[in-house]
Amino acid sequence: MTGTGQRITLVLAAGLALALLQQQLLLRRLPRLLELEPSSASSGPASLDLRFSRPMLRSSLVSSSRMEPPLAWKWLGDGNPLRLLLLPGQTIPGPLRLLLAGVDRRDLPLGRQQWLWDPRPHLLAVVPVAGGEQLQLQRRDGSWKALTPVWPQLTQVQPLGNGAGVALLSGDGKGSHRLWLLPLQQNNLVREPRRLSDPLAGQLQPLNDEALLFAHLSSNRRGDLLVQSSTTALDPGSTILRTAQGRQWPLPHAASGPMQLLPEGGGVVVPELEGLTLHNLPGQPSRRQLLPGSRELSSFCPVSGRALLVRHWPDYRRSLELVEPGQPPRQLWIGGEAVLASSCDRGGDRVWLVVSNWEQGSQPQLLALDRRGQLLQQRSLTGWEVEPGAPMLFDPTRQQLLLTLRSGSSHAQPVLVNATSLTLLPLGKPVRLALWLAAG
Amino acid sequence: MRAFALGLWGAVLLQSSLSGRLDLLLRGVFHPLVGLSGVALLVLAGLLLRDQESPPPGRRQTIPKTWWMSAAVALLVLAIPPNPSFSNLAANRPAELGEEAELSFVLPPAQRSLTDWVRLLRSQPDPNLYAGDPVRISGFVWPQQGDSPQLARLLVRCCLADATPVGLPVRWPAGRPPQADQWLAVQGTMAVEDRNGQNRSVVVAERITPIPRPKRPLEP
Repeated sequence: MTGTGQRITLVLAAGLALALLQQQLLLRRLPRLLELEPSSASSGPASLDLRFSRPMLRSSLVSSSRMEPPLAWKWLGDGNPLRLLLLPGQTIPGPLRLLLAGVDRRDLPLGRQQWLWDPRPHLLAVVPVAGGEQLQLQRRDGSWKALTPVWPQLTQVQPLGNGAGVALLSGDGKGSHRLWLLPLQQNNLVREPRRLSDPLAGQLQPLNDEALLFAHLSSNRRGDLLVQSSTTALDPGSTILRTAQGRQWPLPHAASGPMQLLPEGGGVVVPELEGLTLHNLPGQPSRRQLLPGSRELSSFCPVSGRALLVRHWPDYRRSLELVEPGQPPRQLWIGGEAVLASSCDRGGDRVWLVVSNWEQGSQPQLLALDRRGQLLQQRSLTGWEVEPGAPMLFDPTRQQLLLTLRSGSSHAQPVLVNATSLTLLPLGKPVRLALWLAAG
Repeated sequence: MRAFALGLWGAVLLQSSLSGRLDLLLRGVFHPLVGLSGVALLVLAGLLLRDQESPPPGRRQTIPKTWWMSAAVALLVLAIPPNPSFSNLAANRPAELGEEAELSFVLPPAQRSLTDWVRLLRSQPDPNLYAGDPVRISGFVWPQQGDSPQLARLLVRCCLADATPVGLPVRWPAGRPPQADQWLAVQGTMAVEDRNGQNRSVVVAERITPIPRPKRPLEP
């Protein structure tokens, strides 16, 4: 063999040896957990998405992983990625400790690791203080912490759906408003020995340069923010979508009211004169679906594609309708009362609404319905008034509703409502508005 | 003979490109390459023919057997159209989808293709999120060992050699077992069923329509 031939053989042999070495190393490399994050959608109180470096043997994860306190949970998926779902019908009493262990399909073990996870949302409130209003957050120990400076008015508060921040519209009390974004760093899912902690507020960022006359805000679970705003009374206004990645897209839709981003992302509901329309967000093929009639969006359900609508009838009655994919809206309730707020669990399995009848002294009633519209529970909110514009929000992790109610002439306060028994738990904190901040 | 064999193979490639045969074997984006290769082979055959010198009188030119065999295979390919069994292929290919782009829920359920559904169920593996959703899909019947047949599609990056089968479990009407490889359009609803102690999404078929194999049955 010539010298050149020998050299070529040597190079080929070295390449082959390197490939063999790499193959053997990869073959023996233990599986790793690459990603662990809260799911964007869940049929239970909460769930986690896990991505491994290798497809895992689900049965080994089932038998080797543990959770404290021992809630009912199951693994979903096939190998990789997997989802850890807390089963419906239970509440989360506090932080969870998750011990992850198991083997992959080659029977190689995953390094044991312990995680702390608290999927319960935090309570946010617009609190009246000396000099105006301020955004405050309730810590896990029940105390309150200021997140913003004091402004004469805090007109709108929109927590980002991924819990990464809060969009705020501050007012000077003379009709001029400013838009802000308050980033929040959450520590609701940490690997031990790190500890869970309350959200940390970042630097307040102005989102617009000029003063606004009004703005409407909406967000989805991805953390995108929709801003409908106008600078003057004659200005037709503009709509901007700020994605979680920081990109900005103008939206061309002409709306007759406030637009709402779909919670799961990808779309926006636009009220138009002929009815409610659903549009794709920029970056996707253009699409418009119309639901005709005098309807307004009342609230979204946690399961994708389901929402509650309020329909206004010519005889001044209102009805509450459940929209499901591929089906016409289903009427759950109809009456002469005003629908002040609504909320629903999962795909509309249970629906709550607050109604008020002006003719009967405006005493609000809280109703619980099943998905066929059958009345399950009813509670009179005698002595309470629903704070105008305040939503009713459902927390699936504790099976409770959040309302902002005012009693007599005193300040409004956050009131937690047991979703099953409808018993009220007023928190005694003077607020103007109370909202959940999703655990990020 | 060399020119003849090369010309035949050129004709095979060109004819496969023009007749749509390649749709069964290769992603559309690669079809022009095959067509161009066919043209190149035909040109090469023409050049060979032009430059061919006649053998001296009384002496026969020997042609290797491989050229004859190559020409015979090309003729067979021209004569017999391909008819691959997708279910056989699917049964022998790994069903790992690999890393794919994030898929959102935004597409209305009835507009999701079979591939969209499989990707969604993989990225959001919570069957209860889809229970009751309308389903309108099409694919070929893919028999499963110890389970009822699935409706499936083949995903390809290049060609059949890298095909990845993706299938959805279907609850078929009683007494009408579907035939392997048959192409069907299925309308129904998504439901949750328990299989070996695990919940999974299954399409409850309400309307099944036999359809011809799509012109381009491979999906990217």
